[in-house]
Amino acid sequence: MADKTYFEVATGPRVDMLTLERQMVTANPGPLNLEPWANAARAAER
Amino acid sequence: MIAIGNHFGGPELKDSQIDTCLSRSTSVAIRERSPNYNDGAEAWINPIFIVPGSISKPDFEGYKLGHFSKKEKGLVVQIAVPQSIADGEGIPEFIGTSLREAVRLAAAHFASKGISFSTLKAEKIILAIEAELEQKAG
Repeated sequence: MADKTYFEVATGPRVDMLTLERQMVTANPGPLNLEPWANAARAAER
Repeated sequence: MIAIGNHFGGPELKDSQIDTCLSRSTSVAIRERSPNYNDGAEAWINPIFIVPGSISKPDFEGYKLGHFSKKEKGLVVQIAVPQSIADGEGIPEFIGTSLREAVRLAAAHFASKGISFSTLKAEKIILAIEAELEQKAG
């Protein structure tokens, strides 16, 4: 973790965290999100 | 050589005093060290400040040696930040003292493994961090 800073924003069981991550990626995908659901969100925006 | 990392235990710590000071320290370390510090030629340390917040808190007190990368010759030293420091009490002093202790622990670890580690270069970075924090505070 050299030169990196991170803030925890949520905690919970793995299944809940994965759901939350998917929601975030679907709602607001970044350039490094290569998941199919991120691409679907980008395509819907266009 | 030193490369600092910061782990904040809650989103409320963003832009807090401790966030500002640790971010500044990280930037000074980047500026002061050589750019190829992690090429494996020389040992270096990666102190990680674990700041307690609303979501998580460090599960230890003081210091904990962590992962060592044989390839890069980098050693993680976790530093548990006490709640009083996270609340804003004596942050610059804490950062200087804990970085020196991390260097001391790492130097002993490297010595036991027969790896050379420059405490002088690390001290130069710590002095630069202290000067920067003092300047911003004053």
